[in-house]
Amino acid sequence: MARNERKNNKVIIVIILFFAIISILAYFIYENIEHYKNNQNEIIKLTTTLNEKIEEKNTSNTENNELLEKINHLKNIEKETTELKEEVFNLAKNLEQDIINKKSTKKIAYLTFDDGPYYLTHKFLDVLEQYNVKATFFTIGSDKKKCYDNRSKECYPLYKKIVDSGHTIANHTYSHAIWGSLYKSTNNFINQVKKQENLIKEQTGVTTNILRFPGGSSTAGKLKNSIINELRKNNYGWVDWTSQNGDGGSISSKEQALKTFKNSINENIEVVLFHDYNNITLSMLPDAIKHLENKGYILLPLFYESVMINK
Amino acid sequence: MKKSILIITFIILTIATSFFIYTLYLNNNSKNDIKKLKSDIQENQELINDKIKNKEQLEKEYKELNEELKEEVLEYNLWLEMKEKITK
Repeated sequence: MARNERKNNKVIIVIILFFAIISILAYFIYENIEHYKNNQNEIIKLTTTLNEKIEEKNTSNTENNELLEKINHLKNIEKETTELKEEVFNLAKNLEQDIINKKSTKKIAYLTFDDGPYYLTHKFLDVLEQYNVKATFFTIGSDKKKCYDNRSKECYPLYKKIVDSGHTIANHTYSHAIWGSLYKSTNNFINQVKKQENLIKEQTGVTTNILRFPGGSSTAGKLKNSIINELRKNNYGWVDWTSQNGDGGSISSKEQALKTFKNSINENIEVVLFHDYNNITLSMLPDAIKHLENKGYILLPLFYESVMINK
Repeated sequence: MKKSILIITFIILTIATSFFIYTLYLNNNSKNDIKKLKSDIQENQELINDKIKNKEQLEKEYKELNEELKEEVLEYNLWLEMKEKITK
């Protein structure tokens, strides 16, 4: 009897122990699961935060890369401008062909200034800068050492200013002596071309191969073909003009010059002749630019590959 | 009968203990994950701070260069404008 009782007590103790162990285990398991749930929630929050940080880092990276690109562009801006200039000339060459073949309704005008640099040239450059226009200057060399102007005593620095301002500098012979020895012989002419070429090179570092005959190519008379042959041998191209304001002759007022100029604009590709020694031309230049722009002309500086340059 | 009760008890205890150990393992793993995430966030924050500093320097450099090369920039933009006029 007593043995049975002891046996029962043992069983009860074992059962109690079993439940106690199970309860303790269940409690810790419950605690662990609760911790685990909390951890999982924290992991979700942290993952979101991390993703946000990664996104922020990537945005910063992109912004910094964009800034770096801009800085590199600025550091190489001179080179990039030269490349862009070449690209513009290539595009302009194709556009000229399209205009000639009537595949494009666009129009191009080349503003050209002869016989400078003169003491007024810097004022012409200022107007062109103001209107964001690039032009072409057919320069001569004689009597240009002194420019009796308030701003600059010397005309020679103007060669460089023309080039630095992004305009095309071209050759109009050194002497421009139409009534002198210039058209006496082909050699005389070519010597004057070479002399001016050297002066331009010396003053600007630029070697030009675009020429305008002083007085126009017809002034060369019988020598024209012979001169052109020599120019070809020297890789020179030459250009006359298709429109003008008459400032090489006698114009008496801005209105007259403007009227002559407007009447002369008829072509889809115009080469406009002006002289940068002429005060009347200086005063009418803004109106001339506006007139061309209103008529839809794209104003460009001349370039050797242009169809307007005879080769 | 007694033996089978003992076996069942042993099995239940074994399962409970194993499950307990498994929850411990899971908890430990998630704690490690949290640690790693926190360290990743910290690392990324440091990188972001560096980038911000770098950006400030770059902005300063860009501003200075832009000011210094003002005329060249205008010149470039003018040619770009000519290109657009030709191509548009």
